[in-house]
Amino acid sequence: MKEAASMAKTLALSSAESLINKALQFDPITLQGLQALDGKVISLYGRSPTFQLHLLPSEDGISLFSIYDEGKADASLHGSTFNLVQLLRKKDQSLAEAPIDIQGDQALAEECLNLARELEVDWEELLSGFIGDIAAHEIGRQGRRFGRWTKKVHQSMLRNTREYLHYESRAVVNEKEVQQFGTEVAQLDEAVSHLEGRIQTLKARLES
Amino acid sequence: MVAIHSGINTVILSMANDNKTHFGYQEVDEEEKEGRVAEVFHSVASKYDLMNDLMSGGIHRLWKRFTIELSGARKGQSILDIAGGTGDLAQKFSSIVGEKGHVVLADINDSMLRVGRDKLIDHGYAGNITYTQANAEFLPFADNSFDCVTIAFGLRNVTHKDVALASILRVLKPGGRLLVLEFSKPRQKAISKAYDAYSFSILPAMGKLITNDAESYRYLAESIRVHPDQETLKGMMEEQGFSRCKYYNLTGGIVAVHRGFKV
Repeated sequence: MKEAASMAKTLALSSAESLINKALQFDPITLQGLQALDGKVISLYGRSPTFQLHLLPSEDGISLFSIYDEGKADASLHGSTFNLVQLLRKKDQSLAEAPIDIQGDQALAEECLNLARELEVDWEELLSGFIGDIAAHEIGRQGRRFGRWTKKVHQSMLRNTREYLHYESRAVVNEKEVQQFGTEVAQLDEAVSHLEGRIQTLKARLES
Repeated sequence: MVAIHSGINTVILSMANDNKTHFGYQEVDEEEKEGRVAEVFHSVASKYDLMNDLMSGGIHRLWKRFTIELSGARKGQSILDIAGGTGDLAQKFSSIVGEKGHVVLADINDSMLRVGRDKLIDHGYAGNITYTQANAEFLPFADNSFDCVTIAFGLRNVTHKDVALASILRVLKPGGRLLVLEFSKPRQKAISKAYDAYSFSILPAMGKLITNDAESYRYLAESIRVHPDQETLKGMMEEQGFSRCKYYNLTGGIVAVHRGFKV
C-alpha cells in the first residue's frame, strides 16, 4: 500500500513537473527567476496529513521530488498542509505572516514562494496525490467555482455569437424575423384561399 | 550449490565451479557470458526504449525517476551511470548537476552507448556528459571520483557482481552512494505467478514481433530469475563494504532499488 502510494506520488510529480516545465518555456520571466535559484533545494513538509515536496530549480526548469535527503535542503518550510496550500494560493500573504516554520535560508524561501505563486500552478491538484480528502475537497470547491465560471462564459459566448450572426454579419435571420415571415406566409395563404373561394363563386355564377 | 525454485524451473544460482556462471538458465564458461550478453544488447539496442515502454507499460520511467529521487543529486556533483544504456538516468542527472557538475554515461556495450549518446545529443543534453565504454568490474576511474553511482537494470548481466560492487565502492567518494535498480523477487505469490506467465510467454513473443529476436527477451526473463533477491543483494553490498544499505520494493517487488553508502 505504502509502495503503491509512493509510485502514485512519483507519477503525480512527474506529470506536474512536465506540465510546469512546458509552461515555463512560454514564460521567460519566471524561468529567468528560477535561474537565480539554480542549484538550490527547497523542501516543503506538510503535516495533517503528512506530505513532503522538494523543489530543485535549474536553468532548464524545475524538478519536483517526493523524497530527498533529510536536512540537505537550503530552505525548508514546515507547517500544516492546509497552511502551506493557503500560503501558495494567497498572493498577498507574506511568509512572515504565515503560520509556517522556516528552516535555512529565509530569503531563498521567500523568493521561491514568489516564483511558485507566479507559476499559477493548481497546487491543490498537484498536492491531492499526497494529501487526500482535505485537498480533494478544496479542489472540488475550486472545480465548482471554475464550473460556474465556464457556464457563464459559455452563455455569454452563445449570446455574443447569436447577436453577431443576426445583427452584425446578417448571416442568419433572428427569431422575430422568422415569426414575422411565418405570419406573413400564413396571411398570404389565407388571402390565396379567400381569392380561390371567390374565383370558384364567380366561376359558378358565370356557368349558371 | 544453492537451488532456487522459481515456479517455472529449478535454477542453479551459485556457480557449479569457479569457471562457470549462468547465462539465463544455461550454465556457461565465464569468458563466454560477457560475449553472449553483448550479443543480446547489440541485437536490441535500436529498439531498447520502445521495448522497455511496451514491456513495462511505461512504468520503467517511474522506477528510474524514483531512483533519481533517492540519489540526493544536486548541482555541481559528479555522477556515474553504469550500464546507462540509452541514457534515461543520465539525461535527468545532467539537468540536476548543471554545467558545474559532470555525468559519466558508461556501458560495456558500444551499440547501447551509441544509441544513448545520439539520443542525449539529439535532445540537447551535452557539455556535462561524457561517454565511456567500460566494464563495471574494472571501472577506469580514479578512487573517490563520484558522489553517486547508479546501475539500472545492469547488475544482473555482470559476470562477477561482487567484483563490480567493489569497483563501484572504490570510485565513490566517501559519503557517496550507490543505487542499484534491478528486477527482483515479487513478494506475493499471485503476482509472482502472473509475472512468470507474462515473462515466459508474452515477453519473448513481444521481442519476436518488435525486434525479431525472441531469444534475447527469453534471456531477460531467465536472467531476472537467477538474479539475487532483495535480501541477498543487500547482503552482497554489505559484504563489499557498503554502509546503511537499504532497499525499496517497487511494483510488488518486481523491481527493487538498493541503496548503500561509502563511509
